[in-house]
Amino acid sequence: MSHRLFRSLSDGQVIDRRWLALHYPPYGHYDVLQALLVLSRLGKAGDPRAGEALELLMRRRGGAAGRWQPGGCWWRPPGTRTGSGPVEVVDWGRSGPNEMLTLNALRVLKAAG
Amino acid sequence: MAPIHTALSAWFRPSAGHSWSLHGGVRLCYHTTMDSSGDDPTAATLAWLLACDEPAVRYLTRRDLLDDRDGAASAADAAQVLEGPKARALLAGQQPDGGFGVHPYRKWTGAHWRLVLLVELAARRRATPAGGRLDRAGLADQPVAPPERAGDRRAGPPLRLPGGQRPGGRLPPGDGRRPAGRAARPIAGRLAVARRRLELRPAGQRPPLLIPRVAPARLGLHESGWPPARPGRSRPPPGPPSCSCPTGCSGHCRTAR
Repeated sequence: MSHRLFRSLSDGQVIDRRWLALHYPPYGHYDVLQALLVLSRLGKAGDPRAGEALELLMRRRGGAAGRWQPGGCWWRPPGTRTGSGPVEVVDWGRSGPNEMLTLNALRVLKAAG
Repeated sequence: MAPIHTALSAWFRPSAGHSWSLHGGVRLCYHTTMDSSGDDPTAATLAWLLACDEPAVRYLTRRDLLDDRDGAASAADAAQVLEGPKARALLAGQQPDGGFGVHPYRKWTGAHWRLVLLVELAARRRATPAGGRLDRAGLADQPVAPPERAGDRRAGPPLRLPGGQRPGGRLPPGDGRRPAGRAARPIAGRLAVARRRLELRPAGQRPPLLIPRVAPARLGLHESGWPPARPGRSRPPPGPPSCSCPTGCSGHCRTAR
């Protein structure tokens, strides 16, 4: 929490730019949405130290439709040649609005109150 | 535009009959077509989620965003979670032992990762269509050997050493399956080894660990204490322990500070 979820304590810089992109599924990876989701389940999403991450999440909301879309993926679509990355068995959507990302973002924002 | 977190609680209020009142007095119902033509992105987004073809998304939207846990529509969607296209794809190819024919931790086709995603889809613990069980999806003690694939340089018969010993180290490509490593050993065996190493005895009977009881002279210690003086070093060795605590420590306990 003292890192405000993604910033270095020493110089305030973003620790890893990939943490700012939204991913689904995140698997074992870290990003701000996954951190906020965990905090919301702990009842800590309203903590002031998570405010900057919440603002970032709101900025990621796409267009007039108000949905969220992935900024990156940790998986390859089903049927992709192995060797180019781990292949999924489900196509979760690599572009455009994503239902699970939108659901998780709304969960976080609702919990943040 | 109102903040979304206040909009969620203000615009959608569950009431009898599983319908909600919008701020304009318009009531929305699960089973009717929701109006998403206005400039209200939150209502449109919720309508979009409720129109998803994945029952899990609809169920989780009702449960977590609309606070409708016990309604008929929620129950119907919850009962259909495993019938959704994504859940069916996650369960495709499940074998009677619960696994999927690959190592349980293989990214992202192993049972572990499929289970993680099924939990996120709110799948409940029950027998799956393939006859396996979600809670036994190949995550038992015994490692699952990966299936042999044509053209895979690691494919081939399992490597056996004389006497049944476990192979160690890496093999050149093409010589056989990758040797079983520490991660592939049964967890029970690793626990037994760890238990023996720790020698779980009462605290007073534990042998001293990592402290060799050897005479200082045999170790070549400097007469002033630890560490021994080495020729060529400019830093003088520290003096004798200054701590006066009764534990006999070498000066690094809290008392010395």
